[in-house]
Amino acid sequence: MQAGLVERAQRGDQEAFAALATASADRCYALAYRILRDMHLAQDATQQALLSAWRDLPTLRDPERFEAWLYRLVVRACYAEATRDRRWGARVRLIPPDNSAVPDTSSSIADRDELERGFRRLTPEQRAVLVLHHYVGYPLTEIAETLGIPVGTARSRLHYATRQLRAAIEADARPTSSKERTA
Amino acid sequence: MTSGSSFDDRLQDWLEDGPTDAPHQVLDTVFAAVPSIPQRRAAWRLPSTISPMLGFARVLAGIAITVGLGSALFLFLRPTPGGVGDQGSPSPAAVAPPSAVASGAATASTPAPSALVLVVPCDNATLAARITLWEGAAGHRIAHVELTNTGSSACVVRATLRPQLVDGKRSVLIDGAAPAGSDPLLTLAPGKTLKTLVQDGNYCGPTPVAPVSIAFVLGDGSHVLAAPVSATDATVPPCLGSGSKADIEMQPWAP
Repeated sequence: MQAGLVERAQRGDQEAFAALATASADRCYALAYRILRDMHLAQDATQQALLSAWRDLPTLRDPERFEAWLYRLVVRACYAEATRDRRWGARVRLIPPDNSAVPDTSSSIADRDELERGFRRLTPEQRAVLVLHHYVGYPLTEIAETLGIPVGTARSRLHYATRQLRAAIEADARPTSSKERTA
Repeated sequence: MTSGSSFDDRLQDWLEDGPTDAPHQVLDTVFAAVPSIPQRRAAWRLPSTISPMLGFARVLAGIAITVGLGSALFLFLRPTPGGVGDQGSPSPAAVAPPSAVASGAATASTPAPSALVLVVPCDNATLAARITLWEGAAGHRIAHVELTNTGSSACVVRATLRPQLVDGKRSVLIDGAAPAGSDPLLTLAPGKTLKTLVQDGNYCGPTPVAPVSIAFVLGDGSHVLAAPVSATDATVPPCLGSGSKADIEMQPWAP
């Protein structure tokens, strides 16, 4: 069904595109937010990706690959937003805990803060590969296709991103420990 | 952070936190912008069977496409018979006759130009409209109308549609104008309702069959008929003079 809508949208059918965009917007926004860690930037990136999708849809060769192709546009839009945002990397603003009804038993708030700070030190490319793997659930081949990079590059990028995130978290924890020792 | 898998689990849990629903402004902005954004042409969009023929066939195909586009452009830009009397005014009639735009059959059989097709993803099977109130105004009547998405998924609807005053036999008493193709699209979530005011005036035709109501023409040519205020309501706007045209127009849908 989605392939049919994609083909119609490729021929300029705005109604079909509206249906595709409506079905995809939430997933695009969720992906963008997790890469950018900022709701406003994620909103802009999602809008930009959907508009690019409309403009470039006729160039998509395989309608069955629409979702991966759209995710690629989202990731690119996130890169652009990160480049535009001069505060990127320097800003460490903690996101308040989600007010979901289900209590988070898997990690403490301190854990999440650690991850938040560590994640914000990563480059957009590193963030994207981590999010695609751990949030979207893509295997390496899919990540490679989405990002337009070889599988080997995706593998090493995921490896180094994970290592960098762990290192950032450990580096973040170190001053606190030394303070505690001196106190 | 002792083992790789526990770190991965922590990371995964942490990534699960956060918003999963896009703000409605995202789609509103996109839908408002799409009609004004031309799509890129894909050079590869030739049948794969001719690709081995390479050069010559591709040149021929290119010429055929160019001639086709030129013909379409010529047909698109030439004056329409209905627009003859409007030659002096810069009206939208130069773009397309409203009836052709609003007709689903016409848009389905006419390959170009896609920008003129009304974008109304919601269909009449999943939309329910009702008139909640008729108000009188100077020479006019104003209907308060609600439109609800009764389907199970969100859909989009143009901010303005072509309204019609219809009677109990579904005869069109007053026919409204088709809206501009550049009107924004509104997302209508399941169970959500949009409201509008529809004003009509100067009906000088025969006495209508009850109940009188309002219909909205969707982009595919189908209609959404609003439930009337009552089954016996046959009131129409007063005739102000048969020399003047009857009119009906709507305000944009709004939450």
